[in-house]
Amino acid sequence: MRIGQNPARIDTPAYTPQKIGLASLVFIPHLEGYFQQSLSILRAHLMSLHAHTQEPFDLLVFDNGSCREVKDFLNEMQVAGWIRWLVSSEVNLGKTGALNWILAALPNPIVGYADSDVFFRRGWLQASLDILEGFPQVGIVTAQPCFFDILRGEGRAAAHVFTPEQIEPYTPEAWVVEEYCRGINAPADLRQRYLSTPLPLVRNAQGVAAVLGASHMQFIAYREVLQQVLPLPATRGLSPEEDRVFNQRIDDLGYLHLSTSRPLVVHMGNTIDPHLQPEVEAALGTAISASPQLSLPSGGSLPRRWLGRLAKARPFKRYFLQLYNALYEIYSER
Amino acid sequence: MRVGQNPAKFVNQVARPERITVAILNYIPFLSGFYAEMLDVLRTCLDSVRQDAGLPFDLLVFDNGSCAEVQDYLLGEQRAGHIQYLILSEKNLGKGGAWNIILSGAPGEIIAYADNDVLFYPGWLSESVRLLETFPRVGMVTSRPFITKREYLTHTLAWAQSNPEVQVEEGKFIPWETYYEFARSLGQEPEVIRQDFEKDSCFRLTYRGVSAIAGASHWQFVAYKSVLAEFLPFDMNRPMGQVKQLDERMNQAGYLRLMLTEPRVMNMSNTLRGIRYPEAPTTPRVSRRLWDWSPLRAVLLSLHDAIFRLYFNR
Repeated sequence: MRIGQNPARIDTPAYTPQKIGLASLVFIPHLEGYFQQSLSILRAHLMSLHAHTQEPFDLLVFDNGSCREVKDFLNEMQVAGWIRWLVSSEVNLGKTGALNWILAALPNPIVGYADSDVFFRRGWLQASLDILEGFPQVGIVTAQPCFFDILRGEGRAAAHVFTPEQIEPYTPEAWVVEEYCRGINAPADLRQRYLSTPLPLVRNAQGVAAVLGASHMQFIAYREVLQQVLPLPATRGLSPEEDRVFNQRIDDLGYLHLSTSRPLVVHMGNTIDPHLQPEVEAALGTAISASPQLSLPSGGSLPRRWLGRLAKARPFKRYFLQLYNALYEIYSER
Repeated sequence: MRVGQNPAKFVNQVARPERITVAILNYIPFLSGFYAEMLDVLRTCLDSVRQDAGLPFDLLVFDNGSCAEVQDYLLGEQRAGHIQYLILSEKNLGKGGAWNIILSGAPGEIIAYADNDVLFYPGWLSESVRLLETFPRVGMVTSRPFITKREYLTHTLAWAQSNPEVQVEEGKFIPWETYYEFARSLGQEPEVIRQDFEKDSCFRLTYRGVSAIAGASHWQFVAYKSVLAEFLPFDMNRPMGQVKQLDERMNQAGYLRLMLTEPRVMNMSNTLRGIRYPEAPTTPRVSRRLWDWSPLRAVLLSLHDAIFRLYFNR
């Protein structure tokens, strides 16, 4: 039974969310193999976000069933005041399953999203806001020039807003293309294509430039726009097709995909590239070791040498990769 | 840079949330004074909610900026597999602010919401969902009967009285013991409760063989997420006291507000005094998978790592 009066009833104001809410989605099921450096990447992601965002914001981190070490790290980050809302899911709901949560739940009028392997550079948010608030019919804005057209040439919204004369060709500097290609480990032919193909650029009356196209890896958008595309299909762990539904619905509603002309975010992937190392170290405030080249198991103990020899035999590759994926499924399931 | 292929891309199926999300809102800023027994109350709430609810569900707990001891307890509960979704808020958003996140984010088609001082009895969820699915256009179902404000019943009664399929009765359909234990849990004096009981009455509605008491309340309810979405977001900037908006607006919008005829939940408030406990829970056996045995896990993850290095780390 109730004894006394609940002191929460006194008229103290509750916290009012900021205008901008940013969300990060984390999934690191273990710290082996592909995910060996993921905790360092996650730390660089969060620290760069805080170090390089001047505007006030609320940060929501959605942990999609990561391992104990990652959950402990995120709890420590929240206790230290870096994370406003920490959502911890016992199981992996898939990327779009988590997006359904995040984009519906964030209470802020402007919502930002990023995968947990995105590195933020100074000024990324203001440049994104200049585009979001400076163009009509904006859907999502990415803070990196968009090279990959996720709508595969089928996007229609831009044609309703801009005439062909308003779209100018834009060739980013070579390092910008190189950096993007290194982030996704692009093969040589794709790198060459990006280097030789200009991007479509538009400008508003104030002279703000934006590249047509955006990515679901990182974006900001108005909450009311995002509400219109939910819920997204969510049956797979990480599915380009399910991701694409998000972009398709934005376009179908007549909203634009836009991106900044300068790379103000970078995709780190699952290792820290040596060329990013100085920036990452500056954001972390500490030196990190360069991505160590992992030793191949062909050296070392007898079982490892035996495994290494077997792996070189072509017929075994398929079985090894099946085993790799099966072990992943076992240890990413909770 | 990306080295190798993210194995998450090969996962063909991910976990599907249950149809029902049970959401508990918790706020315990410290463990003294009014909150001295609140960790025990929360523990009792979470133990009872899992005990024979009658339907499968995912449990979501939203912690609205509690003290470290309470957050540590919740983290332990999630590690033990008792909480499917745990949301830790650094600041107190107030009840309405927390609702905005819970009711829009929770993945279930049906949301069963409760404050952190609710005690659940077996069958509470299945019985509540039965009402939700039997009556038409139900807004919210509270899992016990008690006397609620008549001004929030107007639509429910108007629907019942105009529908020939509904039998409407007014009377004392809440037994004294049920009436008393709830009123007492709010800290009311026995003499006042006796006087109120003498003059109070309620409405029992019977529709297609299922009976309900007219009324509901924001401290515990079961509702369709799609219906709740019509009332979001709640514009609330105070910690408590404004959530009655839901009761009021749901009635105005023409939704039914119903309660079970038998008590399947109880309000504990801030102590465990006077609580009638459900049957002692049987401790569920924790099934452990063979591959979670530490030595085997270490070997298999080492193998996984070795294959990654062989084929991807070039």
